[in-house]
Amino acid sequence: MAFDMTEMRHGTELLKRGFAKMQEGGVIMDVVTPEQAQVAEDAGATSVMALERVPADIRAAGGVARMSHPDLIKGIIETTSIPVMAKARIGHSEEARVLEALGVDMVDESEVLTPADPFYHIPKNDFTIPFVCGCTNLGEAVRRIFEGAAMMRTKGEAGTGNVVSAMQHARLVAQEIDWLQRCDDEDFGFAVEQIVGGFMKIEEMSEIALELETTPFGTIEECIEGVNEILTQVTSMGRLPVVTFSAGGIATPADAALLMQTGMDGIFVGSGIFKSEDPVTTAQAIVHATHHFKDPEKIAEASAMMAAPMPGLEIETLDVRMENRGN
Amino acid sequence: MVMLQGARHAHIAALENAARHLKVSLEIIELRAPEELTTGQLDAIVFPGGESTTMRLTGGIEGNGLLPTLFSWLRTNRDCPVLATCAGAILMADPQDGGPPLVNGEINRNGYGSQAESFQAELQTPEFGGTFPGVFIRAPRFKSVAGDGIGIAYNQDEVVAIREGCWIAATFHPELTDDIRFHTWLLAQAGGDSE
Repeated sequence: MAFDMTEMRHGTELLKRGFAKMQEGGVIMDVVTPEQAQVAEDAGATSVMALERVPADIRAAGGVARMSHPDLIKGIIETTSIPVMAKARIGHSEEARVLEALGVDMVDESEVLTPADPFYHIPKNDFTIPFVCGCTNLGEAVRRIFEGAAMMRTKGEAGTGNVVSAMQHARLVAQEIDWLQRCDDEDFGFAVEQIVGGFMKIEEMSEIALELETTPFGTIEECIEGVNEILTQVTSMGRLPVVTFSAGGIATPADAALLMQTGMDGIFVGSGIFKSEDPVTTAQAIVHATHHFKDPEKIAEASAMMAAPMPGLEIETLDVRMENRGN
Repeated sequence: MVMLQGARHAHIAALENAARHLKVSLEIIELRAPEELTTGQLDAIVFPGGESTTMRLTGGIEGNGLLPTLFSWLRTNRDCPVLATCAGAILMADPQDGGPPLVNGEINRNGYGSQAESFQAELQTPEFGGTFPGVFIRAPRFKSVAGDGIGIAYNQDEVVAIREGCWIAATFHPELTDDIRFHTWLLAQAGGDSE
């Protein structure tokens, strides 16, 4: 049936944020082959994240981690019926354009890959497809939402099987929102100023005392106005205005339930599935626990379903802290 | 509210707005497991959108069995109004529990393509007073309307919502708009049109 395309609007904020809402209560799994994508779909994943190597392997390999090969992403898109996400480097608009052209449903502008731009993230409002971004605190989350992110996730510390960073980020965002709800106008104004400061890091690198007037996301004035508007909305809603998942280090059903209890809307599992002893049961178990996160008996059931989780890493021993990239 | 997965909170917010509009009280009962179907007194049911594959796994026979139990219950409680959106519409039209469809229309999952093809369009909704803002997100697509199904929303010539008795299956998302007519309809059907 032929449609009059002029009557149809694509890529609106409502459609982007709406896509993220459809993921609520779900588990999004990293996969590196079409076969793994099938395992994820069969276990009840709400989306898959297509990439060449899971974060644990990216960490082990070292070097520059880039967008995955188009053939790999296409192979996964052709295999699975659920949405496919893929990662672009922070600030790498051209990788994101490639992913959009390949037909992925959402781009993860991810610190798991090596950042491409030290000052700015991708201007995400310029794209038709939605973006998810990581955050370690409220300021990062607000900047990403102002830039056009339709979904947030904690950064956590990817590829470690250690949830401590994901918890830190979830707690900090929640406490900062609580503080905004209690603080006076002066503190609120300070918060806006600090958050906008994050767009101006380029000034610090200038030899000639550059005074910034504009950013890829608008003039400084527009940034102040936009950040102020989002913070006001956050304060009245008592949460971020976009769907917020937990990511980074989740390896067991109990980990997933723990993060869900902090008020997260769902779970990303990176290395936790396919670096575990038996990925099929691990995938099922984490879906089960995420769905029933309020029911300890069901989480016990889920924990018993799986074999050994992925091996874990102590955060202090890491050479690379991905969570510190791109803020 | 069928709480398996998906855009449940947007529906709850829309129902709250509709209840304020109708000046009726509203109690949301969250259906996660089959037991919860019998403990609460249900006046209306919402099947939210999300991923139907996930819902079938967590709520199917191999999961906790909520869906087959709910479908059987609905077949004997045809006067309990239902609003099913997107993935919910897929479940109503293709319940896959061995029984007949709850809404008669052939439906294809993800009928328009990837997220880049998700769209907004003004729909013709004669039963709901003219037009309605349609929000389609990786939406399913009805190929036909059959049996007692009546097309109640159209995107140009294509049917995008089917009503069968007091059950509505829509491939779009009224809960993501400010327009509460579908939710108001649901509460009115549930007998909550006045206090």
